[in-house]
Amino acid sequence: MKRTVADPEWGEMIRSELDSYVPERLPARFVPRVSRRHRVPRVGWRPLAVALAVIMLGFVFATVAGGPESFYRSVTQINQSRNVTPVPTSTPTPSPEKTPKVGRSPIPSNHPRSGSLSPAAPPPAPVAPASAPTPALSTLQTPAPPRHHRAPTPAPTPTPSRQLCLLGIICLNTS
Amino acid sequence: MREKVARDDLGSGVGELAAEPDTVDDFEGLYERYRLQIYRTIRGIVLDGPAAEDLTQETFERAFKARSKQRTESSPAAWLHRIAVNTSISHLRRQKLARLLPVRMFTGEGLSDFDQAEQRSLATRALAALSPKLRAVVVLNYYQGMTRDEIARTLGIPPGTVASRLGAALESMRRALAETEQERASGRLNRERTW
Repeated sequence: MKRTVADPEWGEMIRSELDSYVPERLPARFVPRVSRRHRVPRVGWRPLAVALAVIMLGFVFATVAGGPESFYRSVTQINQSRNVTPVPTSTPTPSPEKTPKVGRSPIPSNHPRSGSLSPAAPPPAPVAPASAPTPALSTLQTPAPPRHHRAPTPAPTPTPSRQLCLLGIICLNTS
Repeated sequence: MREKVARDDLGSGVGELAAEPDTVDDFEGLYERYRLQIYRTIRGIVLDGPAAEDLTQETFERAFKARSKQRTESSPAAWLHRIAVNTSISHLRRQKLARLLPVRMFTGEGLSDFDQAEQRSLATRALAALSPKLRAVVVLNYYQGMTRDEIARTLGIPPGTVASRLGAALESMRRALAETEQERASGRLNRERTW
């Protein structure tokens, strides 16, 4: 086959050209990215982080909504609800004290905290707490006579912030 | 001499490596053996050094992820080249798409393809005149020394398509080279006139 001027030895030309290329930063050894990723032990951080975020959000919301007292009350109630009822999921009974105004009302310092359910404490208003009362709890609570005026200490009402806190605790427990 | 080494690296043909069943299990060995070949093949297709290095890495990453599927194929070299060619063509497609983006209007144009080709050698200029698919066939044929059947197996296309692509590529390269010769001649003529 006769070659023209513009038809050189292509193979020779291309080979000599490409063989002259030497990679500068191509590693001599192959380290796969996949194995590098697998080497790191996987920790279930995501559910933990979500639970923590929910708890923090709940606390922040409680603090903003009702001030430091409300925050303290939320924490106390969470602790008590964890001790008394492990899974508080029941819906609260509707009560006239469920309004936000009542929840934010100031509490006298000489009076026991609203969340405390000790036998020595005076019986709270006949309002169901955030969780359904267990048999042990119901025995402690004596039904109070109906009052026309509001009691000075409001009963623990399931405000959204408390519900958020409880939800966070549940998430934490499940994770 | 370097050429000789490169040829020896590849073996006498791609099919020869089919006799090494455990090659893929020793992936590091596979990498050491073929990284230069794959790099140069990719370089011949994309005509860009840094991009070729990145694409070589990407090729071996892809190969590593899909190494369990390779057992059904005959040759690790053909398998690696197939991944390399596909990776390179995908890269060039992405580049072409990026060139169409309006952001280029704000970043300003670099050297045109023609100006870039001017700075290249004759072989690179000839390759630059081809489409990526034609370039892949030319590199596999003229650089890797694959036969048409081997190229067909590697790229997963019929041997007839390989033949037609090779014919079209040769035609384009001849034309590109002829144009270069003409430009050189006219440039020389202009210089003589100005003197």
